[in-house]
Amino acid sequence: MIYLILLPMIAALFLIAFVRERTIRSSYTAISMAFLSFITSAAMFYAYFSDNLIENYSWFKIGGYSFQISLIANNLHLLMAVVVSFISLLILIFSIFYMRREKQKRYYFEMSLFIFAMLGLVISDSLILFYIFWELMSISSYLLISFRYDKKPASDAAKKALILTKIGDVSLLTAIIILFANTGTFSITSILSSLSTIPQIYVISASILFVIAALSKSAQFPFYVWLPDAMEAPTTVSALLHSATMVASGVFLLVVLSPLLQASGIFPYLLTVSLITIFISSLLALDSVDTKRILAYSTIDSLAFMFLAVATLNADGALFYLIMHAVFKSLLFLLAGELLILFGTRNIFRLRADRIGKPIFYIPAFIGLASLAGIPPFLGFFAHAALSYNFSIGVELLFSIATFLTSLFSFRLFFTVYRYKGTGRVREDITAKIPIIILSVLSVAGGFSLFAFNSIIPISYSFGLFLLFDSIVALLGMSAAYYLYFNRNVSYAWLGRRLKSVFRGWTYDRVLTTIGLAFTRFGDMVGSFENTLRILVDKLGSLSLSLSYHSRRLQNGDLSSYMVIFIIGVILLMILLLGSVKLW
Amino acid sequence: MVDLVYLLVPGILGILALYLNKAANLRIRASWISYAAMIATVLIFVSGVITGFSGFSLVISRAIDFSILFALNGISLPFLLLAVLLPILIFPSRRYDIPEENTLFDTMFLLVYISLISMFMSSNLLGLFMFMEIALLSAFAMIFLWGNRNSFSSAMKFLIFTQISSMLILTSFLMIFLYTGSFSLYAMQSILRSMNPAYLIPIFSLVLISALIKFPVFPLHEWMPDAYFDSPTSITSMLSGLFSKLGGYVLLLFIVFLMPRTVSYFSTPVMVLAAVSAFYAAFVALSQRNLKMMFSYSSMLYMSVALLGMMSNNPIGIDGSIFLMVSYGFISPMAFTLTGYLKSQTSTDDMSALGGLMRKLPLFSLFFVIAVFSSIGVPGFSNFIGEFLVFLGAFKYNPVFVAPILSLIIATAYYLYSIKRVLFERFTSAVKKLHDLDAAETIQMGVFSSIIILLGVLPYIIINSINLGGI
Amino acid sequence: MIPYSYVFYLTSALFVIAVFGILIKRNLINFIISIEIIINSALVNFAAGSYYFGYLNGVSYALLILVIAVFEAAVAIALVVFYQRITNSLDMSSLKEYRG
Repeated sequence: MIYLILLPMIAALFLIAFVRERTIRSSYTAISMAFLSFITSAAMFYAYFSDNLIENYSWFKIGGYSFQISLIANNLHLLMAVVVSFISLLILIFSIFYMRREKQKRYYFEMSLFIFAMLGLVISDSLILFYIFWELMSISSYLLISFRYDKKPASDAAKKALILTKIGDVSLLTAIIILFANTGTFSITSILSSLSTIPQIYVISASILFVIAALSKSAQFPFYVWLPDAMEAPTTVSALLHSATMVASGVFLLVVLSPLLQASGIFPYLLTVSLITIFISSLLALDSVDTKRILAYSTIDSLAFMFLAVATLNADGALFYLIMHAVFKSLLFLLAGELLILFGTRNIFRLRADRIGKPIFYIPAFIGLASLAGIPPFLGFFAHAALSYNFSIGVELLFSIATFLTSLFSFRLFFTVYRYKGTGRVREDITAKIPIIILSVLSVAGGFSLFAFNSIIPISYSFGLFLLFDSIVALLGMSAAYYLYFNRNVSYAWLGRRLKSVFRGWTYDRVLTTIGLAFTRFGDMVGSFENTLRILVDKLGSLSLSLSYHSRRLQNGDLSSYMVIFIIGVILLMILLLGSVKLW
Repeated sequence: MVDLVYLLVPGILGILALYLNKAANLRIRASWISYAAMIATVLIFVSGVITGFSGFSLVISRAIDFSILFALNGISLPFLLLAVLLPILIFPSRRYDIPEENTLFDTMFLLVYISLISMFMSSNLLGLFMFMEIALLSAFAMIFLWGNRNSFSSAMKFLIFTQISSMLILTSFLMIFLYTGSFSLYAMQSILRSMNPAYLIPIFSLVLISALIKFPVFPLHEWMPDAYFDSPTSITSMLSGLFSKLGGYVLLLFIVFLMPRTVSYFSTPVMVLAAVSAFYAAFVALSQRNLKMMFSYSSMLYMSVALLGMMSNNPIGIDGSIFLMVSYGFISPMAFTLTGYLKSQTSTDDMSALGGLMRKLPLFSLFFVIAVFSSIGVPGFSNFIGEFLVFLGAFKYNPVFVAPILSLIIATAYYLYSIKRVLFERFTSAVKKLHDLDAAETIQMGVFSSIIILLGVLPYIIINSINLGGI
Repeated sequence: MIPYSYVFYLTSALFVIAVFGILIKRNLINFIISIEIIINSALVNFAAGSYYFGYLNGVSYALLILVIAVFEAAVAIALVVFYQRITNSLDMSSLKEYRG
């Protein structure tokens, strides 16, 4: 029964692929099917509330092993399904506005493919099925990022994204192989319940590989470079994939597998990596001038918060933050997309000059950015409450600094772009307005669902001193941003220049590119070795040819030389024969 | 019950019909006759799968136990599927290199077709050898006759290497005859299995080396780049789709049925060799700027991975390697056909001379992307299942041997590079006068894709037909 | 009665001279003459052996060789005559052109 959630999206894929655009518009197909998926997930969520249903289908059998496909329906997974389908629905509606001038069929097909993959991922209980959907998401991300393929940045970005996430995919596959070889099953629930039977070396290695996979998919250090470049994709793609869903699947993986990771003791290292990521991304966000790039770095930042929560054994807090983040981040991306379509630029300084004034533009932006910063009473505030439940003092301190930086760069964006209270007369579609309004409302009111959340998934939160301190810090950040950026622009270009001279121009991006080039160079070396081998074989061939040429010269038709050889042969024969007979 | 020899009847009739056509000037299009023969074979095969096959035996010489014995063994069905189905899909691409209405080509193609089918059905080793040789020698002739300017030396290299490997196989068969007194797989199975595996090491090593040459696997692979590059598109597809499996099939017969306990002596060194070869092929492919050469080395990569699975000494690895061979046997002809199409349109297959084709050739781009993605191992396509099972089997043998999975990252890199150069970015002038795939080519590519996706989603089609228990 | 060895030396010397002649001579007639000398030296050896060691086998071999030599000479000279008609020369080097 659980597969019913996926059925509408599969139908969407077939319909979009094989039905002409003129008969049924692909956008309507995608939206209606996404709506069906949403209804189905919501219905299932209601029906199977606090149940735990697992359905197994046998895919194929080899030897004594049965490769199964299992789907799971419990609160966690179905809630994710509801969230994913809801956000996807809203973004698809927005796409009608955003993509109205583009060739649409490919876009809606790939979006439907992505939604199918993400939905499948969140309801999988079988690791191999999980991997299949994980990889399908990588592929649809690649296809979508390269949507404007005739521009070099887009095709390069897509290639970089796929290669980096492929490293994660391969790690994931290896981890799955390790677990299957040790337990004989792919089912996550069975594996987690039989953890003690797996030798510790495999628990550790599988955990490391799972973490690598999550880090690469969720664009954390050291894999984060693909996400800012992935902003070459259409903004709706960024809203769906690179903020709300795909990049969150890394977090989801770790949340589902946290018993395994806990048993391997990898969490302290994850903590460190997350903290590094937070600071790198915040600083880079402060330095960017492109709306989507800032949002990309903020996504990396928020994901790092989630990893932080997972690493402090607060997986449910991470999950809550994930869901809330999906809401406000997609809102922000949709707004950025709207600005892009209406004003044709992503540069925050050029947007400033456009005199955007109407409230419909800046109120949702404020709501979204305030949620991002963690300012009460918006969504982010409650999300921070859930996140920080298990933080130790040191982490709390660092987290506060992170909150300050986050608030700073968020409101830098706000105050730089939405400065003027002008009389801009721009119109936009209803299809653009509706998703934004819905998401904004959710961002304001949704926070209070934290209290109700406990009945869905047990979650702990504390509205204690730290949270108060954190909100104050966030407000401080906002004021600092106002002071620094509202009527002027404090630029850190000097810092950037100093750092560049220290590292002699070696940005991290360049490091990775150099590593990639090193592989290519090594490939060239091997290739030239191969060429010399080929020439060697050819030389051997010509050697035998010359040998035959020279021996052919014996057959020259000259009777005297024949006779010479004949006589010599006869003499040799005689010696051989007579030598065996004692004559003298 | 369909007698296995009926699979050959349409082919033989086809050859006769072709010559009749030429001799009597009947003016029937030769390609129609070939298609009809091949499609008839497919139909017979399908009806045989449904109703069951029965064996066929024709004794030629009792003294040396040479007979043509057709019977299915546990692993022959997947290969038979490949041998029956693939050539029909490859045949349309002959028009890229071979002038229209060439009866000689059609005849030789049908000859290769029936000899490959016979080889996979043979239960008598001498018969198997005979059919293999017929196929290989015909392939040599076809490479030479319709290939590039350099095709003579490439064809000679192909011939010499594969003849050496055939000599080694024949030697091992003769050694088996000395031990068991028979060439028939049934008769020798019980005797060989009860022998001390250490005595069988020489025979196995001969078969192994011969398979290494045929796959090809580093370091005996040097015939491959030139042979693949200098032959016409359809022959390259046949080479990489079917001929590279010949060595694997014979090796599998030995591994699974005849000498299962001897494999453990060879597993570790050969798996190391396969891993090295996989990385080697991946890196060389990375350095290639020519599309056809890139696909050739990629073919070598996947054959090395299949070898890894074969020697892993457990059923998951062996099933995985069979699946990988069959699945890649459909993917790589698709890739080569696309390259051939491209070459016929733009007269180049050098990636640096191409670009921006996605705009002009949407259908081509779609199938190119499908071919690349299925090759990388994207789930939903068949290669994923094969790769996954192989690595699982390799890991079960020894966790170290999962390392070649990293070569998939390199594969992704060079494949994506090729997509970027060929499909994305700006046009280059070589590309301006093009037309997209026509109806026949679209159907051809569509059938390829459907098979690949079908096998990817429903792998049990192949896996259930493999029976590793006994012959 | 001279010792057998003298006869043997004679025939061997003849044999070697004739072999040398086969190898050296360019003229076809000389070639055939040398072949004849070889044959005859072997014949004499056989006959002498039969005389000296007192059994009749040698004589029969000698007779056989004689007859065969006659036939062989006839065939060879016929070939040479035919060859000379075509190429107008008796030189061995033009035989090369008929290789093949």
